[in-house]
Formats: sequence, structure tokens, C-alpha cells
Amino acid sequence: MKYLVMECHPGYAVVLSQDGRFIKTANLNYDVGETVSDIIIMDSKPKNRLHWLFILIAALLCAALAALAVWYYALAPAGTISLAVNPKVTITVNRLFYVLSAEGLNDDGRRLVDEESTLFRRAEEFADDLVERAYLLDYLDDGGTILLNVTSDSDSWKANTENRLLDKLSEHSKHGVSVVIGSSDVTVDDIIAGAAETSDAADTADTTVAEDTSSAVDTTVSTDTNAE
Amino acid sequence: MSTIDSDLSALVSKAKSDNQCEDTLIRQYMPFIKSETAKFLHRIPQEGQDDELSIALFAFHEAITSYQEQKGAFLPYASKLIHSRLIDYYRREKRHQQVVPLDETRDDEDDELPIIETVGVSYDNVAEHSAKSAAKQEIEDFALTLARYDISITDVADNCPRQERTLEACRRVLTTARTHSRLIDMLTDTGKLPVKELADASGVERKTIERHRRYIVAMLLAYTNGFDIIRGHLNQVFAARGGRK
Repeated sequence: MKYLVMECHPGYAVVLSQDGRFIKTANLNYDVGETVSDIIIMDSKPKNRLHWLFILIAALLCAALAALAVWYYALAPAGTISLAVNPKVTITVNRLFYVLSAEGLNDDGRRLVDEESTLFRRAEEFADDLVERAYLLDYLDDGGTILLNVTSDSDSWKANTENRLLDKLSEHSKHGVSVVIGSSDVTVDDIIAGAAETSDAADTADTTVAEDTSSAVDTTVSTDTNAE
Repeated sequence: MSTIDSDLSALVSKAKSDNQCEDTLIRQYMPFIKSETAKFLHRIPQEGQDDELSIALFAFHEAITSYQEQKGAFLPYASKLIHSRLIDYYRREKRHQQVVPLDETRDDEDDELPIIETVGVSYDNVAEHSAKSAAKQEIEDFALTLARYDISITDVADNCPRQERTLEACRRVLTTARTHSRLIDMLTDTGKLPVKELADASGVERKTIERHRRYIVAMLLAYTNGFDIIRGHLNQVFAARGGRK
């Protein structure tokens, strides 16, 4: 392709191609009227040399956001559930109601959670398994009371967790076990005393609440050993 | 932005629409452009010898046409664009490193004549010079003709279609106009392109014709005003497509 130089400026030249295009090009010391073969046609936009850097930064940001989301929902504790019978157990739970960790707060508690895997366990199912295990290990008998204490910065998460636990653990009511939602300022002794007052007239010994000494969310399962 | 930067921004804005102002601005900032080129070459560029300097000048021109004040000061913007274009040029040229410059000497020859003097090339200096002078004169006349329609050659370049499809549409318009002389008469009599009539006759959309009005006017004038050298150069436009010369 040949180009006829039509106009020259210090910064550029205009050439006319044989197929009728008027093109701005670098002025390589052209003269008007000259016919040239090689011209330097610039790309419409200069290549963005930082293109790959931007992609990398965007990818890293996405990865960071994904990691943050995973941490926020899956790894960061949203609250704790304390299970206190004589065994006292604290279960740490994430926002998606999965167990992060479980810790026995006394010897019996440690025995209760011993060999219980917390990996990918729903909180209510884990608590239910602990209750079943409490039965097996004779910490809980028919007619006992399970005290749940859920603590969290989020009221809605707290309420949701309590409902899930209530739904799941109420299956044990067929054994006469009752599930009680406690609060951090209600101790097991309070519940025991309250249960004793209300059952003065009745001669039942179903409810015994173990001492709640933990201020964390302790689902407290009380064994039916202190019937009044 | 400092006062100096503001003044320069104002000058750049003016240069966008005034070719003479742009040329003056480029000449005024030649030391800056040379300095930016020198940073790339690691030596002082020579005018008339280093293509890199021409690339940098073209990049500076691009910076003027694309600069917006909200982007910040002009000189850093121009510097970045110059650097970017020089790198693009360098990478393009690297692909042609197997090409030997004609002014180099051969390694296998005992004498030190440059290659171009050993290659058998025959041309007529006088004829070439004469042809170039005639072309230059005709192009200057062409530019004056365009100026009567308030168009410059730079305007035509800016208005020229980029996409092949649009260029083909403009060629249809030109072919139609050349076969309907009354349309060209309307242009020369009124000084305005008869867009509606051209659209109806050629079947090309009005907005395409309006968008590339200056280009179409320039091409029509090139074909109808005795600009033989330009027309001869353009013989590919219609000959390859079966049009009449």
C-alpha cells in the first residue's frame, strides 16, 4: 500500500492511502507530495501496560473479599451455647449455625465432648448428640431438664439459635426431659429453687438444674438426680 | 493546579481546535518532547534521524487532542503517553530486527560501502523530484479548495471512517454522486452536501453521510476538480470495485 503525504505538521502528518483513507501518522520527516510505503499508524489507544496489574489487583481483592466472607460466616464465632448438666460444655458456633469448637468446662464436661467431632456439625445436632451421650454416660435421666443459655451480640442470631435448639432437643420430651431457655443472670440454682417452689404441692422430681456457673451461652442439660 | 499548569491547560484547549496554535505549542515544547525521548533512548535524539522523536511528537499531538483538564496537569499526561507510544513502537520494531538497514555495511565484504550502494537500484532523481513538486502543488490547491468549504485536511483525517463497513458505505455514496452529476452541482452551487438526496440515491443511511460529511466532501472534490495526481493515487478506490474512473 502506498500513501501520499497530504499535510505535514510538527506533531504528525496526514497521508492518503490508495483505498481512500486519510490517516494521521507520525511525521517521519515527510514532505508534502511525497509517496511513502511505510507509515506508523498508532493503535487507537495506547496499550495499557498496567492492564495485567489491574487484573491481578482485582483478582486479589475478590479473593480477599471471598476470604473475608468465609471468615465472617464460617470461621468467626457468632455466639456460644453452654450446655451445663453436671458436665458443663461450651459450644462455639458461627453465623451459619455450625459448630466451631466445643469445650468441656469440668472433668465431666470434657468427658462428654471427648471424641465428639465438631467438623461440619450443625449446632442443634451437636447439642442433641451431647444430650444422647449424657444419657449414655448416666449424666442425664428421664425427667431431667436441659438448660440452654445462648449468648451473642446479635439478638436475632440468639433467638434463631434458641429456636433451633428448642425444636431439636424437644424430641427428648418423650423421656420427660424438659428444655428450658435460661439467661446469663439466671443460674442453675435459681432454676432449681424455682422448680422446688412450684413443685411443693406436687410430688414430682423431674426438674433439676445443675448449677450454672458459666456466663457464656450454656445449654444446660440437667440430670434428673436432684428430685425434690 | 498551579497558574502555569492552568495557563498550559488553556493553551492545550485552544490547540485542540486550532492547528496553527497546536503547531506553535509543539514547537514551544520541543525541548520537553526531546527530553522525554532522551529518557527512553538514554541519549539525545537527533531531529531528522531518530524515528523515536517523530513518535514522541505524534504522541504529544495525541495528548493535546485527548487531554481533559480533570485528568490533572497536562505535562505528566503527555509524558505518560509519549512513554507508552515509544514502548509500543519499540515492541513493534523488535519484530523487524531481522531487517538490515540499508546504510549498514555488510560483514562479508572487504570494502566498507553501505548495502544500499551495493544494491542495484536505478531511479531518476529529476523525474522523482518533479513529480513530487507537482504533487505538492496540487495538494496545496486541494487544501485551498477544501478551505472554501471550511474544511482542512486534518479535519478530513479526523472525519475519515475507521471501520471498513462504514468506508464501504461512503464509497457507495461517492459512486452514486459521481454518476449523478446534479448532486455534485448541488454541492458546488450551495457549498453544502445534499445529504438527503445522496441518502435516497445511494441507499446509505443519512446519519452515516452526516457523520462523515467532511470526508465525503473532500473525496468528491478530489474527483471533480481536476486533481489528477490525487485521483491517480486513488485509482484503487473505484477500479477494484468496478467503478468508473
